[in-house]
Amino acid sequence: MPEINVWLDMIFTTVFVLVVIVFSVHLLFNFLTGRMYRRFVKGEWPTHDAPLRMLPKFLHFQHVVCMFGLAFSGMYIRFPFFAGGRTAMRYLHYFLMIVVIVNLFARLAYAFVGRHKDRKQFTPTMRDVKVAPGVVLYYIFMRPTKPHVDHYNIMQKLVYIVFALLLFVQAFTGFSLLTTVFGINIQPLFLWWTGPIGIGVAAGAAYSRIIHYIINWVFIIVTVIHAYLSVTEDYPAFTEFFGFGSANYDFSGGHGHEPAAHGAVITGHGSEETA
Amino acid sequence: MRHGESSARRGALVVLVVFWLSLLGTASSVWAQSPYQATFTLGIGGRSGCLVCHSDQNMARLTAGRNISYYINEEVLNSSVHKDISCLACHTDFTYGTPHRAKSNWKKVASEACKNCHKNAYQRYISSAHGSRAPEAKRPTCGGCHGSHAIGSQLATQTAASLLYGQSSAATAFHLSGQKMCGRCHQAATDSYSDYYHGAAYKNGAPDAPACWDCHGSHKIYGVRSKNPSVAEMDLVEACGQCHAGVTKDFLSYTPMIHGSERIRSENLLWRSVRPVTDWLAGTKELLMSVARSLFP
Ligand code: HEM
Ligand code: HEM
Repeated sequence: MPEINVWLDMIFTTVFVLVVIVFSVHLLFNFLTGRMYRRFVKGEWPTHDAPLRMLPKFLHFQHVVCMFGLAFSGMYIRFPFFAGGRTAMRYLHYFLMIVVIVNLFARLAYAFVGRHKDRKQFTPTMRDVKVAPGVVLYYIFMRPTKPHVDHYNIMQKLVYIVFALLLFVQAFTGFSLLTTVFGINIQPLFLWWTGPIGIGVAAGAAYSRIIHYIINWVFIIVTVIHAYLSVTEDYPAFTEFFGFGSANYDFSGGHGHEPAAHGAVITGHGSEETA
Repeated sequence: MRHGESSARRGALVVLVVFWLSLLGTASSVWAQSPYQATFTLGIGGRSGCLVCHSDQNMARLTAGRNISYYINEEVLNSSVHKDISCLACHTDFTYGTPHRAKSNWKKVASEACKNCHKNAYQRYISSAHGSRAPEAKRPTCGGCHGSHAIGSQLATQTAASLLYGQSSAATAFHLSGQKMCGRCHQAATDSYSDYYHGAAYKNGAPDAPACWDCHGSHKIYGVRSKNPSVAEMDLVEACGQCHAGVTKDFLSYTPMIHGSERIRSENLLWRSVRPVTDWLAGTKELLMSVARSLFP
């Protein structure tokens, strides 16, 4: 067990550093290929055909704050990098974990029920799969334009779905680290699986912690990429999402998911380069 | 009848005067020789007698080139849990003479005295590694860990701990004092105590992280690898089970980490391979800092 924990620290710190290096190179290529110039100087940004609504924006904002707080306090619990913060950081983690779970359910409710339900925006379709190689090639500068068939591209869809699923696992593993809550032993709820696989409850919690820690790093790494791309690929939408600007709108249709474009791969959209 | 009575009275008066005069003479001759020569006459039942001299801040003696203070701060004494106990209850070898010239191993004497009240603790201590196996010269006495005149003193522990960790509660303060207390003899063990959740957190003031004695015991101290039959092999399941629910043997695979995290980290293959890079970065940072310092002193 000690070796696993040390390996995890080493592997994820290395991966994190590599990701930062890779995306710095990506940024450099953004400059070299003129993408940055076209976007930030000439103002060629992707266009949105539907308004970004207030509630998801608000939930996302709250979510960002919670995730930062959880990652920070969680990392402190593992690596106490300043003196005297244990109790405060624990309670910060306990508080934010509840907020983030409520938030998660609120966002899922928004996606699945009500007038503005947007779950379809997140559902990968066959067309997404078909254009996936094109999306990847665009991001690695092997293709000047990004295939555009839906509100979110396939990589975004997958990442957002993974975020939601991982958060469930994170909540489960997180709760299994708590033995008693308000005097009630909650271990049977979250560590029932230790009996069948023949390990003790304490050892089970230690494995939960390992999974919790791995997911923590997955969140940190993916969020760094997500935030970097949200700023460099669609800065106006980023400003609108955080309430201090406006995305680029074009309500005249012509989006890849419009009926007229069925089956077609629309290119040359917004910020994309003209070949 | 009246004459007889008056001469008897006169005789009694003469005897009384002679008695008083001789008493005065003896007293003044003693006084003239030294204030200390007499059999100890000050009140010693409490402590006021001792403090007549020992409350003097300048009371010190030069012994083997060291100026040893014999000053006792009454305020500290008053804040101690032993505040109502007389000095002689602990200083049992007091010679009732002044100056107290008899060579006294007062530390040893005092800890022997502790057992008069704290029998159980003493029994456990004497059968432990500290009480029986530690070399005589280094053997920790009760006071070595618990302190002496300030014992259990809110004031003293709070002051010490608030200086150390900015903590205000005496219980927390005592909890956090292990690193210093045990570190005096077990430096390597306290230095290496820096694993996740326990050591690193403890050193950063976590009130719930285990202090040395939470795992090793206190009066009956456990050497983890002790082979001495007089000291029971520490039962790790029991030790970890104090905080972790449902501890079984499989949980114990973590234990090498507790005092070995640095070693395990430094032996990690990935760490060893990236080490040159981090060293190089640290060197570059140092170089840049020194350039910056010389440019902007
Ligand atoms: C979703 C709900 C979550 C719950 C219920 C939860 C719960 C917990 C609990 C109970 C602990 C143990 C605290 C302790 O030892 O006192 C913990 C530790 C931790 N949490 Fe969470 N947490 C959640 C989300 C997150 C998220 C989103 C992150 C990171 C982005 C995160 C990162 C961490 C880390 C790094 C630790 C320390 C792991 C270790 O000790 O090795 N947690 N969490
Ligand atoms: C600095 C941090 C972040 C920035 C700058 C950022 C930025 C954005 C932006 C601009 C969008 C809107 C994309 C669009 O509709 O065109 C978005 C969507 C989204 N982001 Fe983030 N984000 C951040 C952190 C996070 C974190 C921590 C998570 C979750 C772990 C997350 C999950 C999502 C999800 C699920 C969506 C889909 C839309 C929605 O939730 O309504 N983001 N993000």
